Amino acid sequence: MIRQPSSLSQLYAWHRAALAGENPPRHDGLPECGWFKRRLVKNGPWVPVRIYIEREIDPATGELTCDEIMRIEVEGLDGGDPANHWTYLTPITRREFDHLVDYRLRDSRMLDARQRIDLSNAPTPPQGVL
Amino acid sequence: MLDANEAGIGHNNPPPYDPEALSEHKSKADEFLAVTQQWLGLEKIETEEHAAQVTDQLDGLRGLYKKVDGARKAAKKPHDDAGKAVQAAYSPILTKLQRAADALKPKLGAYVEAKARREAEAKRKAEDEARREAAAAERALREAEASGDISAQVEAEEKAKAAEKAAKEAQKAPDTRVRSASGAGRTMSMRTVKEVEVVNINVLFLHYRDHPEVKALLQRLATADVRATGYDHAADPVPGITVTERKVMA
Repeated sequence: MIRQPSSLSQLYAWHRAALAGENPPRHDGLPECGWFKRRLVKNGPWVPVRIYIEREIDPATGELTCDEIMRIEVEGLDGGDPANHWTYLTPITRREFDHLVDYRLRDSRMLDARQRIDLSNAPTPPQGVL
Repeated sequence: MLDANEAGIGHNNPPPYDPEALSEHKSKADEFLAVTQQWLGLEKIETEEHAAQVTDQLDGLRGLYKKVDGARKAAKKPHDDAGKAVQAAYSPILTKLQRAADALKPKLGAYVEAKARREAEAKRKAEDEARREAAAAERALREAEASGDISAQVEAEEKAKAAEKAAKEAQKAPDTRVRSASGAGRTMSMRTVKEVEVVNINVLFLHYRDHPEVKALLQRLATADVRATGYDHAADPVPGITVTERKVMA
């Protein structure tokens, strides 16, 4: 049986529709591919989350050599079962995702994702200006 | 040599708040103010990242305000409570004293009114008497001049002077004041107080329409109505106003 890999258009259809404001249905336990952010604790920092498909494609035939497996990356690390995070995720653009990954490294308050941020503890200076 | 542990000037009169806590709040506030100054130094916010950071700074300022205000309230509470306790202890006595004075005033007022009536009657009688005496003195003077009796003329002049003095005395306003029995108390008297009742509010408004407080009051009432839920300026406008919408950061 020939197994064709899913196209990117198919994989990211839900994410594209969500960003377009079409409010696509979100079903528990059925995650979709895309770029997201979430908080791990109340009033904690935003954490970048990516859901993607891991697969192997035979370069000669273009067919799958194994099953497509959905993976999730939370803070750049394996997040386990994507379904466990799915209902907490807010879809964001790829650009916003990249910015979040970068910005977390520049704002030390965001480094501990499980620590709530109290903005009144320290001022927020303009970055990259002084 | 002054020992570090030795009590200095004012050691037994500390401020009514924790100076260390206040100092911490002040230095934290100074930190935020310095960074705010950096933000204000930028000509304008041009990037999304800066906008997001300013949002955090604003949130931090609000949060710090809340913290400092909370500390202020906590520091002030024992003093407020003490003030309330003093108020509660003294108020009943003050209320009783005020009521007692208020109850006595009408009694004294009735006496002063009766005294004023008596004085007015006495004044009227004195004036009548003075007029009669003046007329008699005038008549006696004319008769003495006609008779050429020097002695009678002098007596008539004396009588005229006495009549004039009596008339002056009678014209004096009656004294309705009630003085302190011991001399230590305040002299009391009936005072005239003017009170106003509005009978034509439109005419009154026209009179005061240029008064700044009238405009401020009307503006406050209209603003409250316009901001109230369900207000529709197109369907049921408050007359005499225009409504403009202004965007503010919140």
